[in-house]
Amino acid sequence: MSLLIKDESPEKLIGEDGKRLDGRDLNELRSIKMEVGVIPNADGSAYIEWGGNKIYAAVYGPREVHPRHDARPDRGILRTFYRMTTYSVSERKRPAPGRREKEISLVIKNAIEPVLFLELYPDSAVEVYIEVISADGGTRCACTTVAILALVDAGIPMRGLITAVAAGKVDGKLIIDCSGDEDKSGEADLPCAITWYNNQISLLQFDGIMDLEEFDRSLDLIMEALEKIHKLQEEALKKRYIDVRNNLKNYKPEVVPTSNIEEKIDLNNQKNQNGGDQTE
Amino acid sequence: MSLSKILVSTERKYILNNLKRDKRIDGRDLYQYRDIKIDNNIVKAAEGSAEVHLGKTCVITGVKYELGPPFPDMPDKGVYTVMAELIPMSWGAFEGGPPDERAIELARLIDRPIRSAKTIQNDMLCLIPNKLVYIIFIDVYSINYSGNLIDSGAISALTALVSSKIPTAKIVDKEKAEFEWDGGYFNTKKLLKNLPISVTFGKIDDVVFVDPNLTEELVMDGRITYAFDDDGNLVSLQKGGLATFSIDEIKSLARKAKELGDKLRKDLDLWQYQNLKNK
Repeated sequence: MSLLIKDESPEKLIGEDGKRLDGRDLNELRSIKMEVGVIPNADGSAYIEWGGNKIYAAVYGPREVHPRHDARPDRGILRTFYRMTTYSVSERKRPAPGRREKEISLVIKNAIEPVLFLELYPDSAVEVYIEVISADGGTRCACTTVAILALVDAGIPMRGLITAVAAGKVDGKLIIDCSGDEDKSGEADLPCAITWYNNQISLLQFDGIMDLEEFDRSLDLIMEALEKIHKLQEEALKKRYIDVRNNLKNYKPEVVPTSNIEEKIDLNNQKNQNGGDQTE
Repeated sequence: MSLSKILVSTERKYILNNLKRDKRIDGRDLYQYRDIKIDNNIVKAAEGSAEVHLGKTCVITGVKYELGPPFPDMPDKGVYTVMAELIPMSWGAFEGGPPDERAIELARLIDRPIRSAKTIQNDMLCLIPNKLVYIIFIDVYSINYSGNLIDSGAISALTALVSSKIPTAKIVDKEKAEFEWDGGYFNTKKLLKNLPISVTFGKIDDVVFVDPNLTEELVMDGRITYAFDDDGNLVSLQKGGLATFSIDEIKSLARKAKELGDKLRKDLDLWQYQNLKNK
């Protein structure tokens, strides 16, 4: 239970001027910023800021499967973990993953797996950890979009990128990319992901009410938006490769080289005279 | 398979040899912290939030609150808890699931200085004694684990608290425990009194150094963490790992920790992250 901060949002989500609460046109996306290679420990990682969403994705693997019986002898397995931090939403979320997080993890896994060449990694697991730091509607689409970038960064072979976005319906009008407020009070929500190598839909969910004509138009809106986001993904990846190349050019090992080798040998000799290295 | 075991056997000696000549594998002095970068207000939905980078270590902390019953032994005091999540995203050897003993120790190490120094004025967090108080959650998530989560976690917890905007309430009906937002927020300068700074040393053999990085943390024998409040009093101490320390060592490290902590406190100036100055 927390204090009810008075909701200042107006009854209508679309104003007289046809603009949405945050000033967007009906077919306008929120601002999207992506960065690849943000978690040094991970084999691949990416970060996305999509409106008020802030999400990290990290890939570990291909690596050993635990528990062993989950392993498949003919191919690698993909595991995705969609998790939200306790403070990412207005009412504190319980720390343990809930039903919603588990379902979304599965939906994202099913969206991504068709583009990966997992048959190249028998007996191994590719694990994608997605952590929602700040949530503001459409997290599953943002997560799918950022997870694939982390997989590229990890060098997992794939047929192509995938991109996801949601269409929705508020005040009887079709909109693209629902914000948190629009998600809550909207009439319909249609998240959708595309696999670009063959233009197939690999994530599709719907809840709310729409007639079939609206449904067709929503899918058109989605296709238009997906193209834009796809370009941003490619730019983020190109920037990563340019950074990697530049870093390699100026590469200096982080480890301080033992200033000269003779000195090191001397040190060891001294130790040996004193009765050997105690760490052995 | 454990990454740490491989490192222990191959890198420990190299690191130790360098340490004995006052050299760190990342080029630092023995008593030098890595660069610290702090961002606040990064999560819209959280009352307070902070992202702290300590070298390659990254932690993000959020502050949330609820209203609920107090503990029976402190009927007129608010409640606060620290939780730490070592999520598998942040390092290959962390596993999912409920917090393990390591995460719990970390949470308690971040909690203890705040509690001992009476940082949070929890008598301000009581609405109706015995019935209704604020419960503050300080949740620390590791984003990239590269050593010394204790000090970085403590800094992020304090920054998130300092920058928090916790709404204040007024009682509508005391009997029915009805209340509503009075339109204001707690001034954290009044809600928080003392910002204790933690300083963690690692120890390999008989060499002690501050702010261990990931490799050092994996090969070191143990650590010792001191925390000092604004007035220079010791508020928390914990020896971790298998290393042992002599009495003299503990005394001299305490002074070293105080010196380093004072410098950190001055350099970081955590009060600058305050959002609201009213009330």
